[in-house]
Amino acid sequence: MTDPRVPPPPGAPSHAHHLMLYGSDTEFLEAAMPFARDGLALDEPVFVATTRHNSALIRRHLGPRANGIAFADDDWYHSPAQALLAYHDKARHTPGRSRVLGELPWDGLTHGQVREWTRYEALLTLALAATGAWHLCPYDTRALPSGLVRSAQLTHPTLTSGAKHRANPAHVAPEKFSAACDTAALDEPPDRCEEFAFAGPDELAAMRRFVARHARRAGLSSARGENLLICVDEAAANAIRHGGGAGHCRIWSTPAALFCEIADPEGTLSTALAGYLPPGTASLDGRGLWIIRQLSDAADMRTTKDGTLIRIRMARTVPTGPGVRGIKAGGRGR
Amino acid sequence: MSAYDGPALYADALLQVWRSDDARGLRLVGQVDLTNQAAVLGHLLDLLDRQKADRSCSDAPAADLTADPAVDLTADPAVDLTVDLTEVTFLSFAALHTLVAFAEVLDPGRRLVLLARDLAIAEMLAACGWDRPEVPLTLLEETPDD
Repeated sequence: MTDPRVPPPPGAPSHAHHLMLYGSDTEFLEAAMPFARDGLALDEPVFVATTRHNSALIRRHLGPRANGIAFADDDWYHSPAQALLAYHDKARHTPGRSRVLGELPWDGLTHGQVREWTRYEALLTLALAATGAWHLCPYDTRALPSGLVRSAQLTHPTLTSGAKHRANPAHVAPEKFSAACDTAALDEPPDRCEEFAFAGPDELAAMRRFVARHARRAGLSSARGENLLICVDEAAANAIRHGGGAGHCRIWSTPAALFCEIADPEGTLSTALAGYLPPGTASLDGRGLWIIRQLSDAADMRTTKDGTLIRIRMARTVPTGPGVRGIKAGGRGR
Repeated sequence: MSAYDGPALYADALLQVWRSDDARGLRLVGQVDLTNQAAVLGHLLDLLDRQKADRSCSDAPAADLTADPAVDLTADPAVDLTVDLTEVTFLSFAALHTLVAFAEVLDPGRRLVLLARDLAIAEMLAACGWDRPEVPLTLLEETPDD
């Protein structure tokens, strides 16, 4: 079979991000087995993050050779931003070629979470460009809503069926896809949200005290509360540096999460790829926004005629996933 | 007597900056954010200048070595610089970025060593790829007492 990672001409995007639609165990195995088997035969690291059922299928059909594969834990996928970093780091720390069979757990996600994981699929293509990683993304057409399958057909540059690969004519440029995700309106904050207005750098410390108080009240651990403070401080510092020098911070909580929103009236944040890609993969100075996405559980960013808005979400129950586990183990799942 | 007993190099409502015991770095107490990150950078650059001046001074024969007793006149250019953040309760991302930028301008072979007890610093360094060995910055983490 043709390896998609032959070095592309300079400037051309890497297309080693494949969609595989399957409607049966047989269809899954017809594509997954050659992908894994060839990787092992070529001595390439193979990483599998899929459902328990599909992991078991692969193990059964590979037999003892399955020991050569690294299987992800059930909680591998925590947030899109953290998964993007985990895969980017994996590719960065693998000098040669590598393979990932990555099937996202779509079950039980909110509408907004589905949007962000779909955006993640689009951005993964950019994050993997210029690395030696080849991702194969299975989508179960029996279980997934048709809209989700259609989105997958927009976010993957290549289609895989069995051991055959072909360019995907429906693929949309990741930048365009990401910009389209931002046209979805965010819910209005509830009336009972609390607000802190800031008008300069000297008020950041008081704003952090305001946020810390709410983080404690919402039951965030001190480590997660600290992460929230770094995110909010960076967003507000952005508003002060680039957004006209002033803004406000709104905070509210639901039973599931604490939300903190920084808005400024003049922001000119370009949000299509803002902070989505690991530093060094794009010629954007989006490090501050990247950090906000890494340290929070989710962050929505919007620029409208009314200014820029950054909404940060921290779950009130402790999440698990590649980022969280990686830090605790000191290795980020490398 | 500790060098801490002297006056702080810098103090504002959020932050105090002290020269560390061995004069090879700084000790920060409080919060570092947009309002004072430039002051921290300024004191780090001062420290470099002072070390350079001391080196040229100690190279000269019969130089007057009695100037500032807190400065280690035998400072080796290859010795790492330390910033003790163990008493820092908040370090903004931009402030950390400033420290990384400072580390990048050190002479080849020299590293900036951060002492910290804060998990978020490690997380930010890793997220930006600043934990790679070629970045001349080392994080030494103290385990919290709990």
